[in-house]
Order: sequence, then C-alpha cells, then structure tokens
Amino acid sequence: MKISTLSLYLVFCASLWSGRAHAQNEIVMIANPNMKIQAISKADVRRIFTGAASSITYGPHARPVLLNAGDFNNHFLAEYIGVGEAEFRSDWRSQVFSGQIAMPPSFDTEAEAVDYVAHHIFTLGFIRKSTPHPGVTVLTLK
Amino acid sequence: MTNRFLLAAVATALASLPACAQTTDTGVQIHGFATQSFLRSSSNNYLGMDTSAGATSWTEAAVNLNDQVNDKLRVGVQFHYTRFGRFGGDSVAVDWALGDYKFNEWFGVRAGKVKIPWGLFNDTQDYDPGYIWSLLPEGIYGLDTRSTNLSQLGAEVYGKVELGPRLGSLKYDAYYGDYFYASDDGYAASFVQQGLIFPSPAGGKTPGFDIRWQTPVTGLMLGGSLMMYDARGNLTNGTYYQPLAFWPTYYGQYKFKKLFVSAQYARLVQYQTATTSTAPPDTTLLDWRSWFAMAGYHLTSKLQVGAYYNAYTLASAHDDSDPTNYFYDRVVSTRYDINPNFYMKLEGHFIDGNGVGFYALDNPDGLKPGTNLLVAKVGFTF
Repeated sequence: MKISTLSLYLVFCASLWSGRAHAQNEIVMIANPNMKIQAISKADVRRIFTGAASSITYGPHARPVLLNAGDFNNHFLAEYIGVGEAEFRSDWRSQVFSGQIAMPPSFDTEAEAVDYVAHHIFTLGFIRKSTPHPGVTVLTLK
Repeated sequence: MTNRFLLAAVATALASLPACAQTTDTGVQIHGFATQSFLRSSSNNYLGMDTSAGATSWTEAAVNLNDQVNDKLRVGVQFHYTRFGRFGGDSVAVDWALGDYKFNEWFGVRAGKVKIPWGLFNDTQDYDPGYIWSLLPEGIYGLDTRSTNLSQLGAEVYGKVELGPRLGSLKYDAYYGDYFYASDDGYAASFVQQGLIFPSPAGGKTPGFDIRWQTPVTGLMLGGSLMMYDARGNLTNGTYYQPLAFWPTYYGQYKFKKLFVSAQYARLVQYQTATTSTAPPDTTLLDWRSWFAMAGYHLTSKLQVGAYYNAYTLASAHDDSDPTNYFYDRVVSTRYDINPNFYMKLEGHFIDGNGVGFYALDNPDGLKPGTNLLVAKVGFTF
C-alpha cells in the first residue's frame, strides 16, 4: 500500500512538472504593431516561416524572424513547421543559393528577436509566452 | 591547386564569422558552402573523371552576398567554384548576379544574371547541401552540362497567386535572356566528339517559364516548365545554327512529415545544322526522353535515406539495343547531418547503358554496357 501511495505521489509530481515545463515552453507569435494584425493562422505561420509566402493571406507583407539553434527553436519547428533544424535551414539556404531570396534575420536570444520585431515593420517572430515582449503585438492563433 | 587552398581558407574564414553577422538584415549577408567528393566506379570512367581508379577531382564551393536594401529591393551575387575532372576548369564563375524588386506577393522582377527555374531542381542543382543525393538524376540534370543550363543573362518576372482555400496557390516564373554554351562542359566535349570546334562559345536567346501549383492537399505540389533556346556560332571551318529548341518538363512532389516523394518527366527536341567549307549543310536531330522517381525518409533528425530510379532513352537514334542510346540508373543514398553546418553523404549507383555522362575521350578502350559507382561526400554550409 505504501508503495502504491508513493507511486501515485511520484506520478502526480511528474505531471505537475510536465505541465510547468509545457507552460514554460508555450509558444506565442509576435508581430510589429504597425502591421495592425491581431491574429494569424497556423498555415500562414508555416508558409511565411518556410519562405513559401511573403505575406499573410489577404493581409500585409510579413517577414519571419528566426532563432538560432536551440531546444525552444526545435520545439517551434516541430509544432509549426514539421521539420528538424537541419532540414529547415537547408530549405532556406536552397532558396538563398538559387538567388530567389535573402535569409531572414536570425538571433541567438528571444530578447534580441523581440527587440528586432519591435523596431522593424512587417516582421513576425516567435517567443516563449513568459519572455518579456515590450513593443510588439502578441497574436492569437486563428 | 593554389585556388583550392585559397578557397578553403576564404570559406573557413567566412564560416568563422559570428552567426549574427551572416543573418541580420542590417547589412550584407554572406553564405557559402564547400564539398569534396570521392568517386569509384567498377568500369568506365564517368563524368570526365578517372573514376575507375578512384577520383577525388570533384570539388565545389560557393559564396553569395545578399543585401536586402528594403522590403522590396534586394541585390546579390554568387560566386561558384567548380572542379570536376575535365569539366568546370579550376576557376571561379559568377553563378548569379541580380537586382530583385518585389512589388507585392504576386509580382516581382529580377534582372541581371538569373538562374533558370526549370523542373524540380534546375536552379538549385549546384547547391549540394540542399539534397540527400550526391548526384541528381543524370538523364535530366546532367552534372556535366549544368553550367550551360543554369543561368541566363536577362530578366525574369515572378509571383504567387492565391487561388483560395480550396484551390491552393499558383507560383509562376517567366524569363527571357541570352545564354552561352560553357566552353568546358559536357556539351563542349560532345561538340568535339562530333568534330565541331568553336573558337568562341556559341549562344543564343532563351525564353521560358515555370508554373507550380501548390495544391490544397498539404505537401503536394505539381508543376510544369518549358525552356526554349536557339544558338548560333562560328566554327573553325564554318558556321553552326540551332533553331529554337523546346525542352518541356512536368513534375510533382509530395512531402509528408519525414517522407518526400518526387517525380519528373522531360523531353528535348533539338535540331542543329553545321555548315562547313568542306561539306554541305548537315542537319541532325536530338530527341531524348527521360524521367525519374525518387523518395527519401528521415530516419532521425540527422539521418536520411533515399532511393531513385532514372531512365533516359535517345529516341532519335532509333536503336534501343545500343547501350550508348540509353541510361538506366538505380540509386540508393544516405546522408548524415553532423550539425546544421556539416554533413556527409554516401551513394551507390547501378547504371545500365552509357547514354549520358560517359565520353569516348575518357574511355579510349571502349565503353562497357554497365557501371557500378560509389560516391562519398563531405561538406559544410553556412
């Protein structure tokens, strides 16, 4: 009986920890306030962050702001793009090397990404919900 | 050899730049890659290299500079170093150099030296890190002929039109410009084999277009392209003329999670007339068809495996039994990404026929009908 109680307690603690970790990694999309948008669809996020589109469907021009390699970046790629870091970078570079586009700006920290989005019109980024985000619009998912 | 060391030094120095210097748009972006290959064939020398003895003479590197001047205007240039066997020389060429003005999502203009969008891979075929494959299907994307087919000097209009949530979107490119036959590629070797010697490269106009339909089925894309070109040139003992040739292709690609599947079909119909001082005008027809089907799968985020089959037949030869008129290639490949910058590839080819990629100049004792080939590559990109 004691073992069962202990097991239940451990499972409870693990679920709390897991929930906390999930909350810490919750992704929010951010945009420059001058774009005057409040929401974005997951399909648009995918199209813009893969270079397949350079504007929101029936909306304004939009440029992605990337994060350099890291666990949170991998989490975003898995949730929104459906590819790994190597494939994601490779797809972008293929377009750059064919002369079609320039690589989007990419930063080591979310704070740098927030600052860039706040000061550059038509930019979209992604950060943890808990990351301070002055000067940007937090978008809701359609 | 000096060039190779210089390139390696420049590439290493560029790769060591801070990541932020390469990817912020506050100034000029710099990206590049370099690869080194090893090829060994069971018989027949392939692609202008001494592959039957084991060849390390395929080295490539590129560096591009891009400046996103504002939200609409971009300027850029890419330098490409190619050395493989007899082809590509040991020099640096301008891959593309252009100005790009994008008015909006559905209309933009590029002008300068611009890569030609044709089929699935024409404009990306010289970016090795973009593929699991070491060699793209030779019947359509000939490594030995790509320097001629890669770019044109002129203008291109492009854009993307949303057709609605139930119809997907349409991406288009249309171009018109000048091109020249490369002086040291597989076309040049074929001309020499036909006894056609050009003191300076032949060239002409190349109009064409590419249309891609991103279907409402997630991950499914269908497309078609048409490249046209004519050519005129002076021979050492006469003149050379090609009326407008038509090179259509149709293709499809499906990506679902860790899987991709692609296929493409192409047919070329080309006439050429050589008029020399010693013989009456001689008109010949080149009519070939080729297709491939390929698939790849990410076993892990770093490890990919894939396979493809490529068939090529020279219909204008009217002799299906001669190995020089066909080429069937069965390929298995694997790629391992050590990290986002470094990768390795290993690929096996089981080739039946000598229709493309094999030259009598490299095989003085004659060609055998079959060839097995191993290709190993290492590379880095930034």
